[in-house]
Amino acid sequence: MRTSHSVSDLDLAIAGNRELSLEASSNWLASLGLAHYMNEYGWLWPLCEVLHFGSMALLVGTIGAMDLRILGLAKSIPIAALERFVPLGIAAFAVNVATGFAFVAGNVGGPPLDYLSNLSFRLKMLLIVAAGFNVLAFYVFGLARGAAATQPGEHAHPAAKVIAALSIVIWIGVICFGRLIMYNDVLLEALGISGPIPQ
Amino acid sequence: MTIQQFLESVEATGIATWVRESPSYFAYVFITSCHAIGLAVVVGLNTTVALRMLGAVKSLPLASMRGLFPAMWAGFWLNVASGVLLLMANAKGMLELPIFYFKIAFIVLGALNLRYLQKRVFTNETMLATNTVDSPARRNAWLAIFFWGGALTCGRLTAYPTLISQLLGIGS
Repeated sequence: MRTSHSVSDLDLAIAGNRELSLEASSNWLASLGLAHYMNEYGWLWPLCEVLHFGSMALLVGTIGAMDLRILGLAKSIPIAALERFVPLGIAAFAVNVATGFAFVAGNVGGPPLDYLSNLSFRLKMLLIVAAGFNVLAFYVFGLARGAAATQPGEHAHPAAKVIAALSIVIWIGVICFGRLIMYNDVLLEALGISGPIPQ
Repeated sequence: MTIQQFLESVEATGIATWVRESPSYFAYVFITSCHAIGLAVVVGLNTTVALRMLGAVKSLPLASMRGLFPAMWAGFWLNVASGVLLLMANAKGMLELPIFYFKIAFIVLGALNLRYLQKRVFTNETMLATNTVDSPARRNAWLAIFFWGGALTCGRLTAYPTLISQLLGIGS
């Protein structure tokens, strides 16, 4: 009993710290004053949304095209040539990060904490990090080099296919959790969680 | 039956009511996610094909990109299906918005242009053999970017019904 009691104290302390750093992050983001501009110029938020969706499409049109080719769609495409579109995908991702940052830091009608404590938002961020590790694995394990050497009409290495399939699943997840941010209650309901998110 | 009554009866159907009111993830939120995914597939892949036609990554053989068209159509039809469901759920509200008609017009033009690219441009023996794009076909590439960009922009703006009139200084 004693130990379990002290563990729960520790848990509480950790949870408290996390709460504090989350709030500190939120305060810092709010201090940038982006919300003021979002309020002042009504077209700014919709413009960021259009850019967020447009760059999402570009990301899927470049990185997603690579994934589909590696999985065996349009096999006559030389992967090495298609790979030259990846910098455009990275640029699109940068636009996604910038506009996404603007939504969080410039949140109107609430503090940035509304996003930071939102489970759908957190899962979306987690999946984006996972996508990063997935890309890292693609390059670190030499799969990228192998894929680039794949001739038109040839199948890519099965390991590269696993990475490509993961990439597609992860990005679909990113889009789904992104849409869920505004309907977080639906997620909490589906998971059987009510009340505040467990830390 | 007036148009208003018809739209009301569409909104009152079981499926429209379910999409709009069910707390299930697979109702409104899942359908709107499908709409975002389909959009990314058709707009993204068509933009990549258009950029290639306009001179990006010349080492990528034009003929090899023909295999991407079925994926673009899959994205397009996913969005027709999800879009019809979303429209049924909010038929009166959507059809009141001028911007929604612009969105539909852009989508129809984008789809016709996509079909033209697939059936006419990417079947042109000279273009495929020489890996060069003539200027009429380049025009179709620009149109693809313009039509899909317009559809995406107008689609997003349906969520801001008063914004356009405010920006143009008309109405309240």
